[in-house]
Amino acid sequence: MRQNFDVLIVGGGVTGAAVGYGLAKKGISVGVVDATPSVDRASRSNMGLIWCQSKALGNRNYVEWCFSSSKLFKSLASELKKTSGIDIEYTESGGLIPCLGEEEFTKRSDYLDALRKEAGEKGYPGTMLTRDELQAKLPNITFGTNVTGATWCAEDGLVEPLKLMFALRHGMEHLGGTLIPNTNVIDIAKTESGYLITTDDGEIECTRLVLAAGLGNRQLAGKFNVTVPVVPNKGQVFLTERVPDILPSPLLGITRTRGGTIMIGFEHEYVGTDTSLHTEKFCHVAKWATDIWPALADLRIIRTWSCLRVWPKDGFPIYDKIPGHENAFILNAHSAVTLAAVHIAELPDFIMGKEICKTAADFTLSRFDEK
Amino acid sequence: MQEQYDVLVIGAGPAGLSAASTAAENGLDVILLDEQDSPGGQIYRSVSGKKSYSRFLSKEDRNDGLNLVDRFTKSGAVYLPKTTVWDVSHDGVLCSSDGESREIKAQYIMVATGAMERPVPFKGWTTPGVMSAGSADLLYKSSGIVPHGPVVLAGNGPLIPLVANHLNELGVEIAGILNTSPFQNKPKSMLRIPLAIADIPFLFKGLKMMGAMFLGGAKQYHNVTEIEAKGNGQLNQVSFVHRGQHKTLNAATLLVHEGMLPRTHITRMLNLEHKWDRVQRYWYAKTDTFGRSSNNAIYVVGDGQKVHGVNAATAKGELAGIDVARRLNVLCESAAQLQIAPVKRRLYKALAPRGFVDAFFAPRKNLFTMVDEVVVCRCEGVTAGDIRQAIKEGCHDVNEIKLRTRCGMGPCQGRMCGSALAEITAATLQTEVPNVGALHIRPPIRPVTVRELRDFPSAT
Repeated sequence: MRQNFDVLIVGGGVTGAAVGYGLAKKGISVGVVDATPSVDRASRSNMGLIWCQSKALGNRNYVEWCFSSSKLFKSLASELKKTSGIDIEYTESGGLIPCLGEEEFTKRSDYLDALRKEAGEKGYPGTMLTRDELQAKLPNITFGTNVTGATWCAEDGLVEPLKLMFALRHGMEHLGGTLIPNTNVIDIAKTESGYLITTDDGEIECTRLVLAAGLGNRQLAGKFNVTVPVVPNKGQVFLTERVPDILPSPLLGITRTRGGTIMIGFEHEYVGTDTSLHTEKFCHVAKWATDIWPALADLRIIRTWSCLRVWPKDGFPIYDKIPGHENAFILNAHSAVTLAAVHIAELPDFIMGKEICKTAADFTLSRFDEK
Repeated sequence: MQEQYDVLVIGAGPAGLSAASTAAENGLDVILLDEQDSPGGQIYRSVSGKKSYSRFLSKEDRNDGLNLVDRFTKSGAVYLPKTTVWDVSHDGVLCSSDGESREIKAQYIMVATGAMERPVPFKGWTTPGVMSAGSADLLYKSSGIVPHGPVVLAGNGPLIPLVANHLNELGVEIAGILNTSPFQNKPKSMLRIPLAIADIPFLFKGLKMMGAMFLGGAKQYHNVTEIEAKGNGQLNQVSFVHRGQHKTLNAATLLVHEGMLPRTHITRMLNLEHKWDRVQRYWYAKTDTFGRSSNNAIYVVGDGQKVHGVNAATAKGELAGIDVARRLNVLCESAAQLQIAPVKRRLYKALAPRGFVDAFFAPRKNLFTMVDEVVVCRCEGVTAGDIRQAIKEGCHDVNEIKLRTRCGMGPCQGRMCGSALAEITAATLQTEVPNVGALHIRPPIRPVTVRELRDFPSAT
């Protein structure tokens, strides 16, 4: 039997599931097809930070886009609890970027000033904390001698990223959407009324097609002779044994999960699709982390992993129609967790034919042509 | 300074010792790493030490163990005891001893990490007082710690009569022996007896062991199902179903054993090709006769490859040692063939009864049909019901179920729950275990401190 949907989304990671959830909420017939899982995918191996601060100077729209998503998370968390039964463990934790040495403190401070200046009268929520202020915020941590302070932003937050992904999927299903797991897309063909998708488990018809397969979009867009300018950006993370609740706010690169384990890692590497783990890369991360928080040295590492971030070449999301197609879309975002809430709110209307909101209007595919 | 060897062997049991000895005797630079403080592995644990362990071995077995250790000591191979390997790649390992980690490089790596007992969750298995028969055996062998009686022994496999006999020698009261082996194993295994006759002493040893257990006088219950450990904070009773009746035994210790599995954490981490054994229901790394795996630089030898017992393990180790010497051109082909022929004969003799033993002790069909409330993953507290629910929600691969439920996400990385997770998944989806994937294993395979990583002598 051939399945049929108004909208078929290829990719059931955080981005695909968020858009699927948003569409199902509007009562639209939506299917999300997801390939046989491989664990190094971005949605399955990230830290779950909702991170808005200290980034994207020079792209005010992106800054606003992130903050607007962060503001929606509290209500999203309680909504998902109802629609999916899953607690995504959202915490209004705020976020800190620790600074080692005076130089880094000044650099961070200058960057925040520049963001504030760019924001103008709208204001910018990030501030600098001196070492004493940082200590007051995290009284149970003894910081290393070289820690000079931190940036602070109350609008950053934390979720359990796996629960977020599964909550979006189940929420979508409970609202009438269809998840088609463990199914690989083999071919896509344009038909008179839409698209015919051939999978390794039968065919699917749809009126509108959304490619939200992360790095997989590179292959899928090839079916349309379109190049998607996203690259794999490798990160490595290590996870320690459980500790008591002494880190209520994440330090960028050092995050305590609700379960009590600590995730450490901040690496960015462009090494193709190589996900092999390199211990030498962890050494300087371990040094950095223990310089900030010396007591970490005594914790046992129970696991390490690497994954590939989905990295649009300029770092900003892509939401666009496939050139020449009114009803086929490409979605790619690096910060899928941070942006999940705003994706739910804004992208369904765009998929259904409306103009995308002004803040996101520049995140086109064509911006890459011009360069 | 970087340490570099021709061959690096992980594990000082029969396979690792003979592999390292053979390679070193043939003139190679060999290093052997082991977690214990003296060589011998599990079967010959502390064999060369002063401890009283040796009294549990027959004279012949003790001599075999001492000979292996003696040969190794004289071989010239470097021995690194009390060392934990926590990462392995095709050209070296990262290991930790005395709280310091370092890298050791080698052209060839031999994984000889032996077998482990198949962990099988059942009602009450996390109650203090419940442990595996094999670990109890190692405890009195290495530390003289004797389990509290009365003891109930439960399960299926040659270790049950062995431990029963050891407990008798130690004067520990055995309240009962619950045999979970299904009757249908018997006729199936009988078909394999003709081949097994090639090793009559082995069969005789087995019969003697079973006979001794019988003479020990402990009551035996056959074809037992629905074992449950009971007790609040400490085991005091074991209940089970026997001949359709619910029965209860008072017990301070319950020792369970449901067969042995190759340890596949390292071989999985290395992404070697694995195969599924349908009789014994376990995964094993695919190798040729010489232990060469699907990765050119990695050998897998001994019971860590396939559980064939000590004689086969010793022979497999030797074959790998000869092969690596041949590949590194310190041994010419004709000389290698001369060494290989007698070892192969020994190996085939040791393998002859395995078909019979494997079928006789094959795990029973309903081994993993536990009720929903049984905790499968002890690290994360995930129940069989949680797993079944995740499957119902569309997670059809064990890694996806792990992400959904956290089963296998704890410090043991699925050592304890991996088999059960796969078996429950396959049964729920009415498919075979090979169709539901295998847990991804990542370093460190043993926990290592952040300090060790920080202080790691980096090349830069």
